[in-house]
Amino acid sequence: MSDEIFTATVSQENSTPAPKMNLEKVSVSFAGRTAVRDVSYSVEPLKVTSMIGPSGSGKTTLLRAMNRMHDLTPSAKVTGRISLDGKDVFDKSIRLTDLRVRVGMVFQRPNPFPAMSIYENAIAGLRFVGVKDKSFLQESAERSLRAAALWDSVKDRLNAAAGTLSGGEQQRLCIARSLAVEPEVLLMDEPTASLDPIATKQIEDLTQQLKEIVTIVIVTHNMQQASRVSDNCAFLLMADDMAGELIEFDRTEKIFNNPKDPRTIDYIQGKFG
Amino acid sequence: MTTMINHSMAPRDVIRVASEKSGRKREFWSRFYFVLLGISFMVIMVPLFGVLSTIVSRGYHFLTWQFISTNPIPPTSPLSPIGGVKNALVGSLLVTGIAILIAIPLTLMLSIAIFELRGRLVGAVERGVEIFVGMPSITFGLLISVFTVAVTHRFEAWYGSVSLCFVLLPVATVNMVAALRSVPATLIEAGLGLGSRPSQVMRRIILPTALPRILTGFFLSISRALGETAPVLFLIGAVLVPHINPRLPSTTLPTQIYAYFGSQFPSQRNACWGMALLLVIFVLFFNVLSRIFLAISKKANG
Amino acid sequence: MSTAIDVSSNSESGSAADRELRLPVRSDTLYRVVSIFFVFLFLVVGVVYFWSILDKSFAGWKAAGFSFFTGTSWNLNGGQYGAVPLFASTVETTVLGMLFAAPIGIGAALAIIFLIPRKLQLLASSLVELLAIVPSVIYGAWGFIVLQPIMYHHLDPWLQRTFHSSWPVNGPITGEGILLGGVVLATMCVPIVTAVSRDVFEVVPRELIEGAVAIGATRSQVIRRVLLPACRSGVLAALTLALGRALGETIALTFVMGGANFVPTNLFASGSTLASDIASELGNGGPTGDSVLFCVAVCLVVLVGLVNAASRIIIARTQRKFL
Repeated sequence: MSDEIFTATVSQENSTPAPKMNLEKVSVSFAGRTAVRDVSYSVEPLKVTSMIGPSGSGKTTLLRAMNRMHDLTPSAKVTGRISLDGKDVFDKSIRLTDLRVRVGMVFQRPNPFPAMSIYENAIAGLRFVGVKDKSFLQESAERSLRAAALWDSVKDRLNAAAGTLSGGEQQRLCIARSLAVEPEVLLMDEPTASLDPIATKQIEDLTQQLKEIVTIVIVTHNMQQASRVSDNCAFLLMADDMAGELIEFDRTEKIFNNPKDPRTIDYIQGKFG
Repeated sequence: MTTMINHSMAPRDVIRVASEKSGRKREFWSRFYFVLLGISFMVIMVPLFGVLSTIVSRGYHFLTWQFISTNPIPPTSPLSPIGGVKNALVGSLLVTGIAILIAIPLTLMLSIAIFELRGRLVGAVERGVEIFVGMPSITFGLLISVFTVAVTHRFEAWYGSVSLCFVLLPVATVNMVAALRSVPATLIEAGLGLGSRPSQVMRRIILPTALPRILTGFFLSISRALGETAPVLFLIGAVLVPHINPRLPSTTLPTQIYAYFGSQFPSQRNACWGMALLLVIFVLFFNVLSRIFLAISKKANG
Repeated sequence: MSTAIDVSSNSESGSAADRELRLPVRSDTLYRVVSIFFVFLFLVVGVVYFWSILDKSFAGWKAAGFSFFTGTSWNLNGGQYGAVPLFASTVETTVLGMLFAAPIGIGAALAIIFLIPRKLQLLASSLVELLAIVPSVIYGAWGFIVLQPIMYHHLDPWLQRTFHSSWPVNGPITGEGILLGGVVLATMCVPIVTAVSRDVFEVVPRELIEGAVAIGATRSQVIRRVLLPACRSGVLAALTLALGRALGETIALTFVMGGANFVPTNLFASGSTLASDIASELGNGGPTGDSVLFCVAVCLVVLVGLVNAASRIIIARTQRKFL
């Protein structure tokens, strides 16, 4: 009897894969003012991890630290350790552009490049990296547009301007654009915030399909969305000094059905936020 | 450099390999590009400091009370002193001043008209004003000379003022229309909702709100008018004594610089730089005023 | 500096322009009548402007005939009215000036926004705009006193040596001429390009840049492949404004061009643009000569008008495509 339990525990440990990304006591501050403080959790590979919490709790700030977007802001300071496959993303040996190829990002408002056609948008990342082979580019475009569930709508108008697409289609084009460079992680910053309910549902369904090929971290204002699409969930809350903190991190069912922290309970039950 | 794609490799690896290979090259070109950008900026600084330092170094010793307050002495020998440039200073004041006085009400009324009225004709007028913005100022001088100098065979200061008005009005109108249009619609609707007539709304709400931006354009126009040569060159003649009679010929700072530069007397040629320095100081002064009001208008609008 | 094109309409609350406000002006009779009066006044003056210039040129067209456009000898005093030297000078100096001003102006605008630290940006753009404030008569004086000796003693001979006197550096060197004219024009046009371009680049949405960064573009790739193509119409507007200034520049060029009797065929040849010739030679050729100068003015007006119209069309086209 005890042997079975022993074997079950061991096999459970062995089957938990190493985290794709790991955050250890990560803090982000802008010009001395801390926006998010001492957050630690791990991102399970090929699963959807969501970050929820009210406005100002630092979810987006934390997300943008993961692909070093804060490098663009001179006043930003990131401390702690963010690792990808065990390696610190701030390590000098990682080229910044390579990091961003491996860790892609989709933004709140769809941002297709206006001067490029649909096709050119899809392969833009490949072009930046220096891939020139025409057949490879075309295959990649089709692959990524299919993965973003956009191929059938646009396959006959690949040369049309990106601006001719609807909002939901534009967002899927941006997803395709990120997917084309074959990232290992896709960071999504409230991707459905500016979309109508139908487009939102399409993107949510897409997330479930995409997680088979990329690890997803999604920030969402909408906790129902988090409960629908994510496997793991991190709840953040702004502390008294305006810095965001991680309150609880666990499997999504646990967070929504049986949370441990009273503040999580309050948020889930809609008492604030 | 085309990388030969090994189609037996997974796409992800192809991309990783391409990224690895091109990484250093891309970073190098990125740095190089930014060096070029920096050089572009530096290149602009060269003529800037060149011009300013030339004006200051050659004109500095002319900044005396005598230079500003006395009139030029016609040189009789290569060593004659120059005297002063009071004639040009007063002349600039006169010609530019009258031009501004004429231009203000015209700009005001035309801008209001473009702002308020609708219709294809008004649209055409707005387009017409924009066309006039780009017209070379010498053509306005030519035009006015046809109706004035050619007819009366005299040079008069106000001819130059009218010509300057042509130069100023289009730019000032475009600026002012933009200023009027920048007033938040909610303010206007509030005024109308209270029962005011459009003219009252204009007078009491729109104009006061747009005033900082209007003043920005106003001072910019003065700054520009002070420096114009071509539109007044053939209309105002030249004088050696200051006066404020618009019916007499006159001289402005730019026209005097233009005239003295080709003179056979070195004293006059050198004095050009003193005049140039004065001109730059005045132009800069009004430009700074314009900036102050721009900052005020930006602060008001948030 | 004031620009005629309002490239940034970033009013959040909704300005009068945004909401297409229709005020009930009909009810305010006096107000309306006065406004309409000024509209007509402007139209009348505008028509008079164009008509008068045309009218005064009739005698000139008669005297010059069609050879105005084909003749290559220009001598007002001597009755030769072939204006090709003027057209050539104008095209040459303007092209040269824009060739310098466009990349440098756009590059400087990019430098101000992406290279120079935020705290110094206002200072940097103010410095560039200082160049725009300087009156053209001073540029002419400076060009003659400072630039011309530099070109005569140093730059022109160096160019001639380096390129082995092949075209276009094969002419006799005087320091004045097309090259100097182009340089002076460039100096005067660069601040316009920079100021308007900077306004355009500043209002580019941050997400656009972040989107490019997020898929692994280098900083220069972001600018060259995403930012600049997206700002195409705004940059074109900047270049057109500068072009208009270059075409119409009169006074500065009278100092540095040298005057044209024949078509300038190399960089060191002297010339006279359409605009600067009017200023230089008014009164030179008697009443007939003056009338011919009105013909030159007509050509100048038509040229500037065409350039403006063409740019408007191009800008509208590029905006429609990518917005």
